[in-house]
Amino acid sequence: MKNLPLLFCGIFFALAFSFVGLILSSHIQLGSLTQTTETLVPSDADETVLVMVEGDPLYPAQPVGFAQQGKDVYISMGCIYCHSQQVRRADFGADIDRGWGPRQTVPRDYILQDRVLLGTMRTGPDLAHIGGRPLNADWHHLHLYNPQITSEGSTMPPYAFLYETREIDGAPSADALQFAVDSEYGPDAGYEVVPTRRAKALVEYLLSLKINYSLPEAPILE
Amino acid sequence: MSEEEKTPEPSSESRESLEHAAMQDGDMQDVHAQLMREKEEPHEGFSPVPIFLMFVFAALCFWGGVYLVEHSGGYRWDAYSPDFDPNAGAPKPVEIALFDRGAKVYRNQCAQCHQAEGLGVPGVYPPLAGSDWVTGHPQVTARILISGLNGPIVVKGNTYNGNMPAFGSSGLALSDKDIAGVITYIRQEWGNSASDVTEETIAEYSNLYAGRSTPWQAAELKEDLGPIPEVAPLVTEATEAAPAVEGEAATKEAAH
Amino acid sequence: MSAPQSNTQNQSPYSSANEAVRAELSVIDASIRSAALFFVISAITWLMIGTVFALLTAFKSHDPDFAGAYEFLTFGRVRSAHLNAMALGWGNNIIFAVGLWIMARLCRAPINHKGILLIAGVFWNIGLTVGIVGILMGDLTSVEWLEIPHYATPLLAISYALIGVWGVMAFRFRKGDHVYVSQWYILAALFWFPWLYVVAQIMIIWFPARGVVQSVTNWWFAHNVLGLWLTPMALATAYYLIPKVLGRPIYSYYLSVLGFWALAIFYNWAGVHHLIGGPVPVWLISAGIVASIMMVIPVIVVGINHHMSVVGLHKEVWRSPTLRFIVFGAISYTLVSIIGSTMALRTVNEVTHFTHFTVGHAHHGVYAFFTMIMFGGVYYMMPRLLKREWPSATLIKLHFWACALGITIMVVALQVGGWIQGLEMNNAEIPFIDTVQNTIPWLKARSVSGLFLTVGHIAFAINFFWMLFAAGAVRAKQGPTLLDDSKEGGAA
Repeated sequence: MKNLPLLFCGIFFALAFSFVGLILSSHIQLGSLTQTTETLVPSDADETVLVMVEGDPLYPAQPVGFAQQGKDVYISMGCIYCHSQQVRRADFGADIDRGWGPRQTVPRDYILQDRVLLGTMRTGPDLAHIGGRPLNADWHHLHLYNPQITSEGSTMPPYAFLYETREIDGAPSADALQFAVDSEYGPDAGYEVVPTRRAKALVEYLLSLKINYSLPEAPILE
Repeated sequence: MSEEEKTPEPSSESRESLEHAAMQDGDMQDVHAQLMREKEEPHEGFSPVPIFLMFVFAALCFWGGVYLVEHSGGYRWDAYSPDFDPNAGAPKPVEIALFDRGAKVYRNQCAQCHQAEGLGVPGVYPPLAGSDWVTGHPQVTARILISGLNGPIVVKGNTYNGNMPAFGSSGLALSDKDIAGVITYIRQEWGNSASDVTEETIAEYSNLYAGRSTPWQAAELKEDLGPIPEVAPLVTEATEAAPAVEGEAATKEAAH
Repeated sequence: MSAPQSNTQNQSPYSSANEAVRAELSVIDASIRSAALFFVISAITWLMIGTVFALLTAFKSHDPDFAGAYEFLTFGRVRSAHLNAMALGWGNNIIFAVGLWIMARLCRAPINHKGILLIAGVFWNIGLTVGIVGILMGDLTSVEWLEIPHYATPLLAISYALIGVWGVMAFRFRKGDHVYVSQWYILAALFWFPWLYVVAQIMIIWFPARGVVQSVTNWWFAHNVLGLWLTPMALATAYYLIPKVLGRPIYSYYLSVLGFWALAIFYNWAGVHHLIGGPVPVWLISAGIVASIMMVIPVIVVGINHHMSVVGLHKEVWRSPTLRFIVFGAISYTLVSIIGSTMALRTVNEVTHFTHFTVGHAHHGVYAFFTMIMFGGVYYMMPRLLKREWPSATLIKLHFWACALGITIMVVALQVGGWIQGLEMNNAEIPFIDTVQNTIPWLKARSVSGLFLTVGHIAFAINFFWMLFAAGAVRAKQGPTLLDDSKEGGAA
């Protein structure tokens, strides 16, 4: 093979083949997905056409401001390298069984995310539906401050640098972290640990991650 | 390696490069040391491709083609399972028994503290196995789950002073179905035997306590209880022997 | 003097017995010397930096409080710094060095304007430094294999363009009629990489595509960095040096052609296998799985080609530092690819996805295959560029054994541990915290393997800088540095 133009053509088309077949075609198939109501009904005009239900809320829900800032913290800390955000279908792995989501996640769940954080490692549990699990903001703050507090034996790193330890000024702050009495992780007497803005945003983001809605192509079955 | 190098002149290009090379005389010796022992520049032999490889290639292509046809869901954007069947119609919601649903919720939400065997952690989290708080009037457990519990409570002779979070709509928001399931589960696992608690019952209780934002205290738990919900009692050896004893025991042990 | 020439092609115009060719090679080597040296020094420096980040990451994975108080060293960031320092710092720089040298030699064209190459290389290193510091400061993108912050990537793209264009120009102005297989691979890789990189940057970072189209693009890009950039460059190096050192032709031209085109067509569809089970239409995933299995073809082809070219000369292979590393790498290529194809099968993937198994697989490919081959390339190239021999055979042996053992321990530990992790994760009865705890012994083994690799890298760096700076001591040495005590001259 010594003809440069011919060789070059072959090299070009080899990559063009997958560029078109994978990237462009998935863009065509998925690029125009929009929000939808949880179910579709036959339209009045033509029974064979399915349309959205009038007045029903649209999903996936538009992400909200402060949670978006929390997403920036998530990205900045590299949380994706231990946590995925995708729920596999019921007969493939035990994701739904573990309560990581009521159903499989599908492409439409991610259309409003400016950066999709699917992840490929589960050193820690999947977070696609973490906001839908009964873990409240207090739990998240304690867990982030030092994962050993809520999950002993965890290998998650501590994010104490997202919190501020300061002297209690009169009364304790409303958002001071509530440690168990005599906890070895609590601050010294007279001090409290409060979340910085970044920590609060991050927890807001985590609480916003919910797959608690059906989609026409992926109904919640249980 | 100390021979002087000859200067053949196959082409003018060579001559130029050689002249250039000759300029750095001292380096010539060392260049040759490494280059002299180098073998020829690589080139390919022309052995044929083994036939077996062509068969393997063909077999793989065939397999690949079949796989793509079988498992591509018709190339549809909404096919997410390799066994996608476009003729299957809408999937039916799966009905899971209350007990099984509860087992799953328990494992994912409760076992961290109350442990898989329902024995709790001494001094920290109360046991559920053999506890009449659990097997008594279902409204008691429902109150705890919906609005939470704090302050001291005596369970099976020991005092616990912790913080049970609220799992109702004003707290961690487990669904009524899930709360009904998990209460049913803890009432019937580990040797406990008590009645089911249905989703309707929990829905009622949820409405009742929707506005309540403070957790319960142990002393209040058994006050003003409503009627025991009508559910077919669980038939086990234990209940056959003493179905009525539990209710009385529950009311007697108000501050136990 | 030298070992007997292969007897099939005694009259070959490429034979080094031919004075003109030898002189030409010496001129080519001299012309590329400063650029290649610059890239090798950069590569080794980044290798050491990447090794430090690797050790930090490894220790933190089983001991989260290790350096846990420092935000700039938090796991997600330091792991990303490790990946990019190794891939772009070690990987790209060593490719620029070895790949361009091989291209220059095969094209029989001394390079012109090497100043441009040097400037591009300097900008590459500056861009990468800015990028890695940016990652540690928290500006990473959290897009796998694309973590460098947006303010550094244009500098990288421009540097690459200058270097890549140079490679293509060398090919364009090549002398001679025949185009050898290494040249196809290098040319193709030089062309593919910028296309992948620019598309990924545009569709994920600059003008993000909608939803999971980003993820599909991400894994098309990231897998192809391995398959269409690192792999061809490593294969080109093996294809050049195995016959070169042994003085034998590559077994079959036809197999080379088949291998090249099969890799070109199939490899770039395989990337979607990173999304098996994920929120992507199933046809994309099935296509990725089929392509991953079809990769068996080029891998077997390359394996046969290399094996048949080496058969009967195992003693030579073992004695030559170059070939010891390269053949280790070539065997690893076959192994890692077979494992990779197997991982794409749905039943296997159900277990291995999301676990350390994948991490082990990645290191198997990038280290046991690519890096070991590149070490071999450096061992051959440096005596020709510096006109000196490697000072210490002992350090070379230490380098080889430490790295061979280290990477073997790492891959086995991560893949056994990862397999167990996957099985446990798929059993909802097992609390998640237990799956984490059960990986810890394997992660500790990984840290131990990292220490082995560190020792190997230090041995390599010492040997290299000794060769570079202590000119007087080594210049007097006659004959190649071989890895046994035989007094015969021979391959190096």
